Amino acid sequence: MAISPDLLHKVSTEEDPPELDLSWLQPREAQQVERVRAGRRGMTFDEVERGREVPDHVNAFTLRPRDARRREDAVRTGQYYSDKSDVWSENARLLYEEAVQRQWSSATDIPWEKVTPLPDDLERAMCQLCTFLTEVEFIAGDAPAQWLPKIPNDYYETKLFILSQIMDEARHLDVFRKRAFVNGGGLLSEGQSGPSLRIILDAKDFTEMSAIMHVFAEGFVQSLFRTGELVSFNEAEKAIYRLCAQDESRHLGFGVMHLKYILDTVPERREEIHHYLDQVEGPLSLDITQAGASGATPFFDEAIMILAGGGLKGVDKGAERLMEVRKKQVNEYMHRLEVAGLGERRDRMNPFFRSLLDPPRN
Amino acid sequence: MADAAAPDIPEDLAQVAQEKSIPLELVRRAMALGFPVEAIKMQMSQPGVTAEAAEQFIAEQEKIRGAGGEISVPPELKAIADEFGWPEELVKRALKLGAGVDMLMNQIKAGIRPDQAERFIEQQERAQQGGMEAALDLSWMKVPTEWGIRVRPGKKGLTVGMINVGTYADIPDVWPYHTEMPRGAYPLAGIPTMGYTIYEKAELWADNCADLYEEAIQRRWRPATDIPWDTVEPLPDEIEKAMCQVCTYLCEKGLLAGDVVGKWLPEMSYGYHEVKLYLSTAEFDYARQFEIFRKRALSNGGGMGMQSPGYFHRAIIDARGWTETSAVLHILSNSFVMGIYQLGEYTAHNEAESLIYRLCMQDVARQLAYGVQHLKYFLSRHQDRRAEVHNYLNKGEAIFVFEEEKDTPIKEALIILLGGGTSGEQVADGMSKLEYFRTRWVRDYLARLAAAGLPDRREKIHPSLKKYVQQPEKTEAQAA
Repeated sequence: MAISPDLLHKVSTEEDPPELDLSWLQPREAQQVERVRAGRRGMTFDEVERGREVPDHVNAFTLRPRDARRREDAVRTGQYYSDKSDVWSENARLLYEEAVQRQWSSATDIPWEKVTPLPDDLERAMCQLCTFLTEVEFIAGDAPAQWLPKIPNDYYETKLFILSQIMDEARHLDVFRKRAFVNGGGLLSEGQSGPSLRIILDAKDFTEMSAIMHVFAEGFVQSLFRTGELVSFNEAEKAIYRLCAQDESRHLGFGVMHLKYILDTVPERREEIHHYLDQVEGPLSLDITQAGASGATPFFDEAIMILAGGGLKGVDKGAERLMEVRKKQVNEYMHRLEVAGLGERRDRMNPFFRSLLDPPRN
Repeated sequence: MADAAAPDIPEDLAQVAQEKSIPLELVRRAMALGFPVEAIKMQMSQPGVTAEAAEQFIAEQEKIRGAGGEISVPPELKAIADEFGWPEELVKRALKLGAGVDMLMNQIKAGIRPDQAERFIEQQERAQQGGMEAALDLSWMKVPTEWGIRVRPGKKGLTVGMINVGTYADIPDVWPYHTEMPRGAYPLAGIPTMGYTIYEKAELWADNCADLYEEAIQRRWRPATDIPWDTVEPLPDEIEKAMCQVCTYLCEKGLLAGDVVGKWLPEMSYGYHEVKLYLSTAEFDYARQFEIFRKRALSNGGGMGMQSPGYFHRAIIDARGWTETSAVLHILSNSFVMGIYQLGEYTAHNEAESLIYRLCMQDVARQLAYGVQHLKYFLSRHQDRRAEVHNYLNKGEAIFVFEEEKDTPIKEALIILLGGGTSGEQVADGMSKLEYFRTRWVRDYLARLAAAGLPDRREKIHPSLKKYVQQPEKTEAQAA
């Protein structure tokens, strides 16, 4: 049977390209924005988001980024928080940008050559402290990470901040592990902070997690880092504490401002938040003593006493300094709660903590 | 003339008293009360201690201590102690240690329980007898971990890989601890589990993760300031819209990956910290991916485009194991993302876009490298699970192809960018070029799977993608 010339022509020539649909390109539907020029600090989110609204409430069932056009046929990808107050912090955008600008490398930004041999008791105390910090730091990566799939992309600022925090915590895990291995030491004993860390992981709500991790736990670590000179013997260690403190202050900043946002916008959650703090103040503070030694983490406390006292022989002085650190931790914690709008916490704080509080500022 | 009955004041104690302007007579009275010299010295050294405060404290102590050293509890303190259930004996022990009456009353009223107080008092009594040193446990100093490690920085600084020395370099095939204990530390009994679910090295390991972690940090970049944003100039409307559609797609992909890896990080036990470290940098890369493409979309008059249908998101989210997740996210999905970056760099309209795509390629290359090396490690330990991995890829590819058919905006946006516009000629050119890029990414995808130990994937790949697979050239004999 002969092949028709038409069919022969069709198979021997290329098909015309199908027409494009282009409905997504229609100007009447597509969103237009003003052109933006980079500002003094570059092309920041503050520049590109200027004048754009962040909704107070969303019905999020998909991964649609804020301002993207909705597809009615998009499949659901999960269940997300629907209220801004559940996850929002007014400074998240700024903190994320700062995190990007202030990344540092534990491999090359620490003057490791400045670490010089220490007496055995001091090196062991330093390595125990490093073991403890290596252990606890990444809980602050794991814990917020598990909340990422619950935060709608409409509130991407919080997601970006959390992603930057995960990076920060990895670096903290890493830098303290490195310190333990550069000066003739090694890792020592596992710490005793497991029960406290479990409380963070057990949180059933983003605000609960943030209050107990960002405001409480990281606050305590931050106060320690900020007194890093007490437990530093060289420029390398000072740099470690300084850089870690810089990172921690962002995490705290997020937590305090999230707490403030939720107390301002959903004041009925106040009592609930007190309950979370009741819980977290408990295990950590059960045995805090006048000397500052806490039964919850005695290995940590002993290491600090030895380091701050300049050695085993100086632990009396070290105990005093640990006490100073404890007082600082508790008072700074209270101050952050006041900033967040939870000043009444002063009267219902765990008794051991309360006994370390300075009188309220007028 | 010195009182013969009064105790002698050691020279160093006298010196501290002098520095704090505290009369020696007060020091003698404190010593007569039985306070150890070191304790007095410590108290006087505290900031804010004045002669007046010291006088007040000593006078109070003299009132509550009898001539024989017996302690009497002031009535106001006793009333409070009774009210809060503090045994009198405990109060006496606290007073004997030097606790002030007011301070003690405040502590009791604050709610400190007697059992809590007793632990502290015991510790302080031990400290008073033998100094603080005697009260310490110090068992952590003697644990049998490897000691004497001294790693010096190398050319690339002090890297994570370098500190894997001695026993600390032993990375077990199964991590036996359920806590956050760092690898190489000494385990304590009684620490609660943290609820990880991945304890087998083969389930998450990649030999390159320590290096990828350090590389990610060294190659960090800043979207706000490292991109020459001033080179972005207005583009024809359809080109700008197409660019913004691609940006929207990549924004969504970035946040999806962040969610997915975030969900898995808390499942990974602590023995394999190198993996957790690397994945943390990947999380940061995903944030930056979102950041850079949202900023590009919102900075040049376009705006966000249309969301994707989400079918393929589900293929990644729904994965029930990390290896499945990694194979679909890091190798399948990221091969396509890498393809878009290559295409983007090819079609870049200015220096800023060109640099954006180049930097993003660097980031996604690390994710691909982790995915390939993890799959390789997994298959080397679980040859019996090859068919299972193929099944994950079968499902992933099928959904990917389905999504491609449904996601008209991204397909058309790529065509417009490649063809330079929407005229018939431009569309034809764009389609032809898109086929070239598709061919490239499918081949790269298969090459990655072959490197991971799945060279047979080329035979099993989804039928719609098979046409892009390069067929082996026939030998002359076969041709004949």
